[in-house]
Amino acid sequence: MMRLYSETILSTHDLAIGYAPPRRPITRVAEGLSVSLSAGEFVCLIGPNGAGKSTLIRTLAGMQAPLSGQVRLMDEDIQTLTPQALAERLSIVLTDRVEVGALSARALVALGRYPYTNWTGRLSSQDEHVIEWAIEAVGAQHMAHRNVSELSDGERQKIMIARALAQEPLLMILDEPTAFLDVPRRVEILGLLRELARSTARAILLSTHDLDLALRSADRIWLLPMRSGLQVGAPEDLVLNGAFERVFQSEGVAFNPETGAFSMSSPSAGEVALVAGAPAKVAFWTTRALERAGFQVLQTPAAVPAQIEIISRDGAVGWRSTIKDQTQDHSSLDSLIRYLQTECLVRAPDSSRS
Amino acid sequence: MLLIDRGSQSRGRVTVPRGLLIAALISLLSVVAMRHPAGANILDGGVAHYDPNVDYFPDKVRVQHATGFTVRYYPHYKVVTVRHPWRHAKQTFQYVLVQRGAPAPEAYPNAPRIEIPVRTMVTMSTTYLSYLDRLGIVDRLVGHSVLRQVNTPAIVKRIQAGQLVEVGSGAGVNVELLLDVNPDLIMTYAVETPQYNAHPKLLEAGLTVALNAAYMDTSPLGRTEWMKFVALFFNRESTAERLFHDIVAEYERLTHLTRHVQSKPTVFTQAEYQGTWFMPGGNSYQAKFLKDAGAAYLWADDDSSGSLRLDFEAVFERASKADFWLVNISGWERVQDVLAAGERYGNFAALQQGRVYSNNARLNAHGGNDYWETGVASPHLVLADLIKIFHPELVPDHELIWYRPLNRK
Amino acid sequence: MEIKGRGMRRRSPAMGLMGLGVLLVVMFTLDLALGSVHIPPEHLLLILLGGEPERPSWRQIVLIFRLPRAVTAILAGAALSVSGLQMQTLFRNPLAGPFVLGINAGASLGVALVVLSVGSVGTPALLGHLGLLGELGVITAACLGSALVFGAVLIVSRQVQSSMTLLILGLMFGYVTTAAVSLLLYFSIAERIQAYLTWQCGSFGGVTWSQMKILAPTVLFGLVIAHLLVKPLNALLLGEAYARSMGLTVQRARFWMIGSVAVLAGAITSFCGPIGFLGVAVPHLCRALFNTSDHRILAPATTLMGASLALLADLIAHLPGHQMVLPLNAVTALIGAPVVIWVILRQRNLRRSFAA
Repeated sequence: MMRLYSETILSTHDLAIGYAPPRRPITRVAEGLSVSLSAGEFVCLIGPNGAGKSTLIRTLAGMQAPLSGQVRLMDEDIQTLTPQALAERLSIVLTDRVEVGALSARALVALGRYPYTNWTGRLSSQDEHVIEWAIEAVGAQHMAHRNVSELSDGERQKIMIARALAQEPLLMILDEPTAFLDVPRRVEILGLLRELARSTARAILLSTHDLDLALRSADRIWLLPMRSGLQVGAPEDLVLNGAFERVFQSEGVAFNPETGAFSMSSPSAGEVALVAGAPAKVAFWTTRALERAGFQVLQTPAAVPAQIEIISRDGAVGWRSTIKDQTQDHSSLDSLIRYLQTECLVRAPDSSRS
Repeated sequence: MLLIDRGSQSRGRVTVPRGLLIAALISLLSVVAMRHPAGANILDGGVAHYDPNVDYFPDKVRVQHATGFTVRYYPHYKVVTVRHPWRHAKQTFQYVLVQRGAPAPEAYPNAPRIEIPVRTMVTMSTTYLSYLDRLGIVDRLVGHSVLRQVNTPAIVKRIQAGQLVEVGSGAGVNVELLLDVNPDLIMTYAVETPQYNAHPKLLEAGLTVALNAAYMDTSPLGRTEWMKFVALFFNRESTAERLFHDIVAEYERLTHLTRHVQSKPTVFTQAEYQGTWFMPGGNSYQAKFLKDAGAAYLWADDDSSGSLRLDFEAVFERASKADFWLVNISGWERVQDVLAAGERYGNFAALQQGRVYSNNARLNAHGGNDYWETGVASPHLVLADLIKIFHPELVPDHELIWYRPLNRK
Repeated sequence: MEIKGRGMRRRSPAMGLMGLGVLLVVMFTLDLALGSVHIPPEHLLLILLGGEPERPSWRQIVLIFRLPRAVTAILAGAALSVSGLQMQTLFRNPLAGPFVLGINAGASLGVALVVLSVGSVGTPALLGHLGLLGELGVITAACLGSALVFGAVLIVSRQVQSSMTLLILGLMFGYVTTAAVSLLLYFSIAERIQAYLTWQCGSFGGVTWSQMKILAPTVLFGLVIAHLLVKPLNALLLGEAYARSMGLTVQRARFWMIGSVAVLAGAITSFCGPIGFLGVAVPHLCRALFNTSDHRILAPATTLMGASLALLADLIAHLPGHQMVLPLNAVTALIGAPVVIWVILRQRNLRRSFAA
């Protein structure tokens, strides 16, 4: 049994990854990678498209060879391990939906015991025990008897995770396992993985595009930008030191460290002042709506022709806009925004002020 | 003034020598009433001055055993009808053979006219070649389908002298070459499957074709009587009648020998061909031969004249203990060859006891089998061969000609 | 209700297998009992128990003709079905069968080279018999042909990573050899073409006991290998990436699978001619009947079911009561295709019975 966080399971030093197809030029995807994973760690690998996340995942999982350097698993070069030995230490979950035909979910999970069973695949009582545990760990007891083809995508990925668990690896590597899932399912699975890493003292490495969830759940983030080195750290550290902003900055998109979310910069539609003092929740979402419409929201009402005030009418929330002395009440943000937009369109020549 | 009935069909029980005598008498008698240039059919050339009162065919054939063709004589032309050109044929073929020098008749407008005696001929089967030899018209032969197959010595000599062209067979016949050679007559056969036939292409090219359907005749003598069919085109009826008469006499003598034998050995024929055993029916050509040879053919009870399609099992059930087995598979020279073709043949008693006979004793250097050349023209000799196999004591002086036992080694 | 039903079916594969075993015995007996010669059942039993029946030729018929044919059918049905199962799983393709790598095309080429080129063109129609070369010659030629293609496929499979590529290459090998055969046919005379086509029709009846001494051990060997591969086959259900991650050496497993299929399909094609349909259909039938993709059940199931169906096809081909024998390939397709259509449509969803 590992001591949480102390034992290094995976480590690389100055690893270079890429493709070296025969008779063609070598493609270097990334180099100088020195990372490690410890027991109980839940790490998310994020980065923009094309930065090489998949290549890194595949190299770490032993599915492709590195260009230089080694991937060491329990201090052994994974390229020297036999497939059997590797299978006992490492299991994977991939993105794609797997069609296995007429297997029950339990039978699929049982496949995870492959490295440990005899030539017929007969399951010992120990194997059955592990399978049962894996199914419970992902919370799939009620669906275990059903055919895999009848499960929803989310349920299926859970089963695939259970299978990877049943393989009793030291390290689980998942390549965008939530890509095809809806948001509630993504939240569920990431939460599950984080819990599993801790409770089973395994290392779990996951690549994902879901930045928000990654920031919230990962113990550590591996941030892989295009063409420069991998950055490792706690999620919040990477936000505060501006690494996130730099990596994800591109045309028309910016990471906002204040909100922890991306904003789409749209052409400025004008300035609007929001009168403070409204309930925080309403003020927050009113600001969001205004920013979505392209308005810059200022807190000081001074010298801003358009002012928005949140009012309370007959117990319901409403908005009052005051534009150059013209006042209008709106019962929904939708009508408020439309009104503002038409107003600003009329004033189009003047709205280039920023 | 006409003593001879125009358009009388020459058919009857009159044997040839007597027929000749009568014809001679009539011609003598008719000297007053009719003028004959000669007392026989014109073997060469044509008529200088045509006389409608003359019967140019004093020598006629009477068809007695063959069922596949008929001939109707007119003073200056003959009408030959081939009734069963191939299995399940729905048409017949008629030919109007016009004496050279005489005008073509107006009757039988749909039948092609062929001028006789034919001067040059091409054959598409070896089964006619022996007749050409015996009728003395080998010199008229200018081409044959596949030259390698020929056995008749006189013709082989002509081949070696380069006097024959090779025209190919079946649907692949060389029409251009034939147009170049332009023989007076091409004699060929036709089969049920139209794709294999040569005659459509030849007719389309405007060549003169006559279909010989001897193979359809189901009795040995009937088949050989087609030598008269060939003779018709050359005005050689008298020779044909004489030859055939002798053959029939000898054949019937031999048949008589076996009629009263005490025991008839059992026999079966053929072999499995691509999964099916085509066993000749009880009324087939081969069955009749076996009956006449005094053997008990195991499928004599069947009454079809074609072949039965049997499977090995069914044949084995009836024939596993048969006394004799007759085959005609090329390449089977020894018992070993039979076993190589099929291990199961080894279970037949006939094979185990060395009583398998094949009719491939006379092959030329290229594998051409003389049985299908001289053999079909000499049913009496073939019958003698068969009797030699089944009842050797009846024909002590005869040596096997076309049949041979398969070697044990 | 639904859950219980499915669970119940899945809980009794042993019963299902036993049922298939019983079916096999029944079909075997029927195939022995029915044929163009009528043998009363009590005499058949007597013969099988070693006694003497009313007519001695009956004994010979059963022992020399029917018994080897029935045994060959069993071997062929089992071999082809298990091969089809492996190919479908390896290539993750429901249309794959034992001949997808061009092995039977290789055998056909071998036979064509021998049958169509022996004897000169122009040999009279009455001569020219398949027997010229002998049964053994044809078998050997077919064996060499399929071995040749198998060798080519093996060499290529070592170089090629993706199974999909291998599949396409196998199809191409098949096309090339078939084209070569077409050329040979084009230049052949009618009788030889007929002989070759007859071989193509397929038949269980051509194998004698002495040939069985080669065929039976070969097929049994191939079947054993196939059954030893059930675990890798199950792993491959998830695809090669997952299978590798579970510890399977995919290259080696692929080698053994292709090897066993080549041995099984090559042997059967050499001795019986190319027999289609069974290899593709029987795995589907078993998947649907047992409602599983688990090869631990499917391997024995396809063996038993394949043998039974082959016996049925043989039975029908021999049209008991009639003297004619139908081409085996036509029978296998005609009786088999409707069955598969019915089964698949009942499932309403191919994916449920197969990993598409």
